[in-house]
Amino acid sequence: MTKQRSPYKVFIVEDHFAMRQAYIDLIARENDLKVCGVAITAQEALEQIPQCHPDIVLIDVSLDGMSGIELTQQLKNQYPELPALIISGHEEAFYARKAIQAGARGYVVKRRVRLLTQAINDVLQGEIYVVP
Amino acid sequence: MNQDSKKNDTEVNQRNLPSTLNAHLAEKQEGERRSLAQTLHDEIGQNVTAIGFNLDFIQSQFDSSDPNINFVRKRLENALTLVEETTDQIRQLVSELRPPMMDEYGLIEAIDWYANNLSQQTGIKIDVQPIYFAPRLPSWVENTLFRITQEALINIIHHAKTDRASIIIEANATHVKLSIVDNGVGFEQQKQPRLTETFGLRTMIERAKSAQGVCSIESQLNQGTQVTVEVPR
Repeated sequence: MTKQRSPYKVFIVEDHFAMRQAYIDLIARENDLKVCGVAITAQEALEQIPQCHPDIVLIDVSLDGMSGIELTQQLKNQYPELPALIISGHEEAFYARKAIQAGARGYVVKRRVRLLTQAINDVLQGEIYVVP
Repeated sequence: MNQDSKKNDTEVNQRNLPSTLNAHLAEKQEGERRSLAQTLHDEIGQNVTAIGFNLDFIQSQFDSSDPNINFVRKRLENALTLVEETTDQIRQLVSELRPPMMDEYGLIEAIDWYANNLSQQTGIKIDVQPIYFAPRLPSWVENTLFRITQEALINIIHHAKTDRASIIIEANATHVKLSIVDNGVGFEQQKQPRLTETFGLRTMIERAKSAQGVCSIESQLNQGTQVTVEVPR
């Protein structure tokens, strides 16, 4: 009998309540994913991530204080193996480019949030996922 | 601290603030645009996106084979279409108010983005030759240069009858220079242009002055127009 892998742990950084809830709902529908922590600022995320040991971090691009792009860069430096997926209200290709340059493995616009779990799974498989 | 360095500090501080009433008013308007764009994008836009997500979720919970709820499904589809349209309208409005990347990434990225957008909307090929320089100009000077560039590009679209334009950005130790050039129909500088054109040209010159810079407009009939603005760093 094959032992089933425990779900991948997802950490969410998002300051908008309803969007945060949307990500949690989408992830809850997937057996192989679970939310291990939630932060509403980059600073909170940096404090909580070491306790949570996530497999992937979802980051809103527009955060108060340190931006999502800056947080991505910082996480890339601190945890080079931890993939970041940017979720953004900006549909300009400019932001997708900046996110990938900062080290993100994916970029999903909020309008296409229903594709989020597909994006998470692709990034966890080592692919780059961009939906601008 | 000697007298010279005190003077330099004062100059730097003054440079960080608009120096004329017109410039103050322009910067106040820029602040209002910034705030409005931010509210639209960060709050209203995200609320609409979240409403769309919730409607989408509700729709996915209905049994598609049940004919009794077809009318509800139809209403939901209409609501989702409205959400998509509203999202597009908000996005367009935010872009028109102020380039979203202006504050974080600065003038050059904003000009590049604006020119690309305008190219896509109008079919006019706008070539941007950017130079990145540090430190960035004070925010209000960046705003001023962006609005001059915007005005010059809008003039090209309305009057130049051309399919090509270019923006050249140069920087040396003391100045930043922007040239917006087209190869369109141009105009005879001796002849009085129409009132609206005069107003647009005067606005650019006034804006440049407010940033302690200069703006020149050179044009010849059938040989295009070049707007050059130069400001101290």
